[in-house]
Parts: sequence; structure tokens; C-alpha cells
Amino acid sequence: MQDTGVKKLARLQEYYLLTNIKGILTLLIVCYHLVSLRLNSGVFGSTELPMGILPVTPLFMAGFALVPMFIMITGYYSKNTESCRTNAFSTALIPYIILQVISMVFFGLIVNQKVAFNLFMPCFQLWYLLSLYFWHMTLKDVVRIKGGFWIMLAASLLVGVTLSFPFFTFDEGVGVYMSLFHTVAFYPFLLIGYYTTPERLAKIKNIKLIYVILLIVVFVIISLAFEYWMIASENISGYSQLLLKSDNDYIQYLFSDANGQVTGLNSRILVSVVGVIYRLVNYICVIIVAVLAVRFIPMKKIPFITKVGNGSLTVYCLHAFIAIPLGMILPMGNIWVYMLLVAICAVAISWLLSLNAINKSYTKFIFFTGDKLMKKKDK
Amino acid sequence: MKEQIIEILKETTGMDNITEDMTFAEDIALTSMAIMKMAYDIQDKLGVDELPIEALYDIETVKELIELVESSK
Repeated sequence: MQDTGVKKLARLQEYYLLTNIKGILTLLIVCYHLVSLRLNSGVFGSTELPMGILPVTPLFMAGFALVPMFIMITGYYSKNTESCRTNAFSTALIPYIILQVISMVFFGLIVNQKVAFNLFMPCFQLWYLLSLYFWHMTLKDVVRIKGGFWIMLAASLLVGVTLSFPFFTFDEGVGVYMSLFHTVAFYPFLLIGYYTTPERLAKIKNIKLIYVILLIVVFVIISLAFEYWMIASENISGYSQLLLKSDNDYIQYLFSDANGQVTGLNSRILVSVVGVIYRLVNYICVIIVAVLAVRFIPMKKIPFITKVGNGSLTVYCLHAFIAIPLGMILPMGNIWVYMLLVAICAVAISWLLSLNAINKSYTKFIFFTGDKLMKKKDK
Repeated sequence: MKEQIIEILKETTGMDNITEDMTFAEDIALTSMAIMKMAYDIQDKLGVDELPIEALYDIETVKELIELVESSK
């Protein structure tokens, strides 16, 4: 453990720590997109994911932390809210529009995937760029609101649920469209990153081992409890339906009307409530995984990981063009061979896209396009 | 050299007033991508062969950046 007792991380230590975390997250996200199209095709057996295997469920839960952790790091580097807002159009929205158009053509016509030819329905990972635009445009004001974090936390828990007097109903308008769901659901993570200081990172880095063990135990317990909660169903909606069909009198009573019938509206209320609980459990797990990542990931250069972390945005934005088609042709005979191939491909794709030449070209392309579109300030 | 670096910083941040005593951690607080763009601009516009990204995180102020670039030329 480096620098025990430090009160604040030096900029270089902070850089290596966060870049290494980004590198690992990027690799895992590439892995996810390599298998994502196969998740529904039975590669993991009839239950899609290998639930029920003790070590797998905590790993599965840790997987949910990948994107939120990425967003926390985004928030950490968004402390200059004015600069973020000034550059949001050129560094987030313009790249989004360009990559979305390319993605629609590439995935729709060339790879023959079902994609909406719609600028407001982000393809695959591109929702991040659209959300980034909204986050950077609004962050300056949100951090000025009293209790802004708690308001955004409440909004993120309730996203998808609209208060429609006298009941909560599921708002189907908030979903993939314009990345609204992601923008709201992940806003608290952006704020956590924004409010995290080098001093707080140093404190987390020096958490005593006993607390680390405690966190791991809590995480495993939550994961396993979550497994029992989710295992009967493939998704939240399915689980809610299962509850409604159960012999549980209390559930039946709660969600039945005066005639003892479970109405469609009540069914949707239950879906919403389950969604809120699901997100709350997820948030707790994300925080634990993030703390453990900061605690254990080294604050020094790790040759391949630091390089991928450096080019993480380039890898993140471009990897789907390789990972999705490649993932579709990987042989699936043996699960372990398949997973090994996925890991090798993820390393190869991340290495290729984080090469200096590609990283530099992408970075310059983004800023160049933005610069060309924007009027120059009068000097 | 100094003016060119400050100009690159102004372009990257969108801030009008950049001074030598400003710190990267608190006053300028660039996103990681903006830091990369700044490094590439310094390499291309000022003819610096290689400016490792790590080196840009190992300095605190604009003045130190200017010294770093001058020593790298």
C-alpha cells in the first residue's frame, strides 16, 4: 500500500488510480459487448446468465457497477462546470450525432442488426455521449441547488415512475429515447464523482482491512439476496408478474381491486415499485464496488491497463463497430473456450483502439469538428 | 512559447483569462479528454516530439507546464 497516511493524493497518483480503474472498466465493457448479442441466444443455458453458481452472482452484480463507476470518474473530472458546459456541444453532442449516424448505417445496413433509424434512439453504447451532453449542460445548475444530490437521487430512483394522482404509474415515455432514463438514473453517480475530492480518495485508499472485509461480506450477502429475489424471473417485469400470480394473500390483497381482481394498473404499480427497490440495491452495490476498486487498484503505471485507461473514451466510443460483429461470429461450442476467446478479443480490441495514432486521431477529430462548427470568439 | 501555450489552454478550456499562477487541480480542472487534446496540440503546434500524458499530471500550475514544454523542446 503506497503512501499510508497521506492526506491528499498527488495529481499523478490520482491520475494513475483513476486511469487504471478506467482501463479495467473499459476492458470489461468491451467484454460485455462481445457477449451482449449472445445473451439472448442461450449461450449461458436456458436462464441466459449463470445464476445459482455461488461466485457468479456477486460478479454479475459487480458487472452492474461498470458504467456507474465510469460516470463517477466523469463527474470527478467535471469540477470546472463552466468549461464542461462550454465544451459540451463540441465534445459530446457533435461526436454523438456523427457516431450515431455512422452506427445506424453500419449496424442497420452492414451488420444487419435491428436498430432504429432515429437520432433520438442511441445505438448501443452511444447513449453515454448523449447523456454526457445533458450532464455537462446541467451540472453547473444542479450543484447550485440546495439538496441537489438528494433530489437527483430521488429522481433517479423514481425514474420511470410518474406521479399520476392518485397512483404511481409506469411512464413508458422514459426509456431509451434521448437517453433520458440513463441521464436521470445515473445522475447521482455523476454527482458522487463531482463531490469526491483527492482528500476523500486518499481516505478511501487507506480504509482499514477490517472494513474492507466487512464491505465484501455485505456485498456478497446483498448479491445473494438479490439472486434469490431475481432468480425466479428473467427481469423485473417478469418477477412482478410472478408475484401477482403467487398464492401470497398479502400481495394479492395489496394489488387487487374491490372485486379481488389484479388490475393492469396495479400490476404496473408493482413493476414500478420493484424497479425502485432494484435500483436502490444496485446503487448500494455500485458504491461498495467503487470503494473496493479505489482501495485495491494501484496508483502506479500498469503497462497495458494504463494505456487503455488513457484511451478509454476512444475505445468506449469505437469498440462496438468491432465488438458487435466479432461477437456474432465467435464459436460458442464450449463455454470456457468461448469466454477465453471473448477475453482475448477484448484485449485485442482495447489495445488496437488505444494506440496513440487512433486515440490522437479520434481526440483531434472531435475537437476539430467542434471547432469548425463553432463561431470563433472575438479577441 | 508562453503565449502559444496559454492560447492553447484558452482554446481547450473555453476560459478567457488564463494566467501562469493558475493551478490545474483547482482553477482549470480539465477533463481527461481535454488534457489529451492539450497535449496533442502542444506537440503539433509547438513542435514538441513527445509529451507524455503522465507528465501533464505531474505538474501543478500553468507556469510549470510552460517550463515542462520548454525543457521538452
